[in-house]
Amino acid sequence: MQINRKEFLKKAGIAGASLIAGGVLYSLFKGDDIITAVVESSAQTKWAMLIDVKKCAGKPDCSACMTACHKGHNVPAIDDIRREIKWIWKADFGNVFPEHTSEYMDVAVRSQKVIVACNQCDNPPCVRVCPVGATWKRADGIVMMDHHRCIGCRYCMAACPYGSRSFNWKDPRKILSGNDIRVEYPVRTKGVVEKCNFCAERIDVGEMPLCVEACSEGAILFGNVADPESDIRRALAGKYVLRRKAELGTNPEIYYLV
Amino acid sequence: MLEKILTGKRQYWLLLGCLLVLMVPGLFFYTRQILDGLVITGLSRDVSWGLYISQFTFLVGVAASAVVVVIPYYLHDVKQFGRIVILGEFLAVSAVVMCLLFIFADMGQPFRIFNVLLYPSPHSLMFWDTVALLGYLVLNIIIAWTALSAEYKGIPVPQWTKPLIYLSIPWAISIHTVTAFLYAGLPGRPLWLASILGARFIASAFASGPSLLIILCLIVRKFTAFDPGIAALKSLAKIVVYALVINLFFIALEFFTAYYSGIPSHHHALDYLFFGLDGKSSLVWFMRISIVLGVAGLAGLLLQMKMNNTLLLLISLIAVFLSVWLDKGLGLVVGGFVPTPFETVTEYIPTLPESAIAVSIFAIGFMLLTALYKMVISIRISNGN
Amino acid sequence: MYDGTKIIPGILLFMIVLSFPVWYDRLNGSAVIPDPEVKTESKYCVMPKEYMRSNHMVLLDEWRDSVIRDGDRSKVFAGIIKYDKSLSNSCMKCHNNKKNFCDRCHERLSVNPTCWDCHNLPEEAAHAN
Repeated sequence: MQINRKEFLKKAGIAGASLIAGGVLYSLFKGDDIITAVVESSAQTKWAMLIDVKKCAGKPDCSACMTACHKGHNVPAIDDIRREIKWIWKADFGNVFPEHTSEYMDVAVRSQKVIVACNQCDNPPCVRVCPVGATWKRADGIVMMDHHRCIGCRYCMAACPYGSRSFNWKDPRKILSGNDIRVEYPVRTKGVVEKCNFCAERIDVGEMPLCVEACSEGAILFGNVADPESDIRRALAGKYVLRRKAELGTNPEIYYLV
Repeated sequence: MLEKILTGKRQYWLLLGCLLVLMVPGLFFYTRQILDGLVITGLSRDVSWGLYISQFTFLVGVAASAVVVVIPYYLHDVKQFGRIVILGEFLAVSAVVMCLLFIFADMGQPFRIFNVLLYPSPHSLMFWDTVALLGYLVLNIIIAWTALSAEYKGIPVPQWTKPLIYLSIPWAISIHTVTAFLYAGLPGRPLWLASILGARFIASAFASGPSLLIILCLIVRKFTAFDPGIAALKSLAKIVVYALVINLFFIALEFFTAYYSGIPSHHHALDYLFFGLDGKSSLVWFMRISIVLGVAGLAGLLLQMKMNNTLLLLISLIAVFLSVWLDKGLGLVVGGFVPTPFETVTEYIPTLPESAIAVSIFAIGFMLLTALYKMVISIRISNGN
Repeated sequence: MYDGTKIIPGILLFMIVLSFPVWYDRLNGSAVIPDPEVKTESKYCVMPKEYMRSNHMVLLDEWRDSVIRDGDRSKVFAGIIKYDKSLSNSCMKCHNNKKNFCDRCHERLSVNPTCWDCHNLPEEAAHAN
């Protein structure tokens, strides 16, 4: 059979294109990632946190939870606010809950510090936007990050209404010194997004999150809100609690007792 | 046909040489970005997208606007557009290539790019945007290439391209709509969370894209023996006028809703962009100049219809193009990140390295455009115009 | 076929250049199989040596997916020992010398796995204590 150059290029092109398209379609319909990303779990377990703002504000100089978390997860301390990486941190009440602040509120009240972290939303916008399934919601409600898969497009950072996500602008090993690194937990590579993971690595082996364990005031209550008998459900039942920007429909799983 | 790219006059090689020179610093800085990470940019935890993504957004508009020549020519049989339709399609090709390069430049882990195909995620608009852009690129290459090679051989354009051309029309609209959806579906970013964003994107695209196309055609007309036809360019300028008026109207609508409702989250971003917020105001003059250029460009375009002055036409079109570039290629993306989720203001100023990388990508795009236009023009000249 | 006299020798030449590393090593007698140093107190690995030699990367990928994506942190049994599915916390507890264990083959084969960009080496453990 005679085949000229143009014909060959055409056929090779068609074959190549259909191979790629076929591959994409195959992985689309194989689809395990898609299902984990969108299907609501009929969860037996749904982890949540209740933060007692008063107890926490009682010790304004305390940073036990943040230290425990950042040390335990090898989160580098960066001074520059543009590049910083944080999983759990303190912000002014007025900045965390602007909609619950009035002009006559005491400056002392408005500027009292509130602990914030990833809200582990029930309806997480970051998960919806991730183009590779590097962030997804587990059956127990934890919004996970797979740092092996993240392409660093930072769409999740734009989607998160809470500013809970940080990006590794440079290699964190350039900041963490050898002594700071906790060997059992990995660090991250440059160019990936990270955030609080509710200590999934500890919950899975029956331990409490590091911040909960580190808090001497008992200001953080952690538990399973899918279980009506759990401590956290009892605590939530009769109290007036706040959630950040609840009107956005993201259903945060961090509750604040004020 | 490609052989036409390899021969040319001195000024052709001079132009390519200049673009090559513009490319060099960016390539150097990109190797640094690969080694050190995005730390070389001015981006931050609070403003996590900047120059790269805003250029991408703007250029999707330029790419989509090819449809403004395709619709009149193929659907309404406006014969005078026959000479510029391929130029419009090749402009779209170059613009999409630049879009893809900007996305690539913005990635923190560029070597994992194939994860987008390995783990396709239909719940992500980014996935659909990739599909739309790649599809649009392929469509335009096939359509323009087939039409040009038919012209080269002096045979009619094969019939099988017709369905592809009709498909390319909604596809062009879709690439820019989907790009708007990237932004318009995010909770907690009130500047973007507007249903008019998609419509505004299309209107501003149909103002800026054809402006660039007319400018390019005027350059071609001045420096080569090929004349795209001034009458066609003037008709195209009318489309620019309509699109520009609609775009300015949409901007006014956004201002009305934000300020009349008085909802703080709705006007904070506009406050920042046009008046400054919390004493931070680095974009204020750019945004105001954008509005002034838009209005001035409109006035100039209306005036030149009466005066029939090509120089005024050129200046007005440059004004329109810059106006949309400042609005979409600068303010829109950065403004969406202000204020932060904690009601504070973090400013973003592009660094020299990231600006050089952006210039480099534009240089690559315009090199491709120059080569493609050279091919078209050489073929047309040798075919006796 | 056009230009067969040029194409066929061209392909042959290309093949020769392509296989350069193979015949160069053969001719020089430097085609030695690397010998990674297995220095460990434990007698039990999660898989036989032969399997690990060719498929350790597959196993590590499976572990990664099951731990991170499926949240399955169940242990793996090897003889009488239970191991976590973890590179740093299991594999490298025994094979604690990356240079003499991992790198010997990787360097020879010119592969650059990115594992240690993030996962820590036992040396750093010694350093930290």
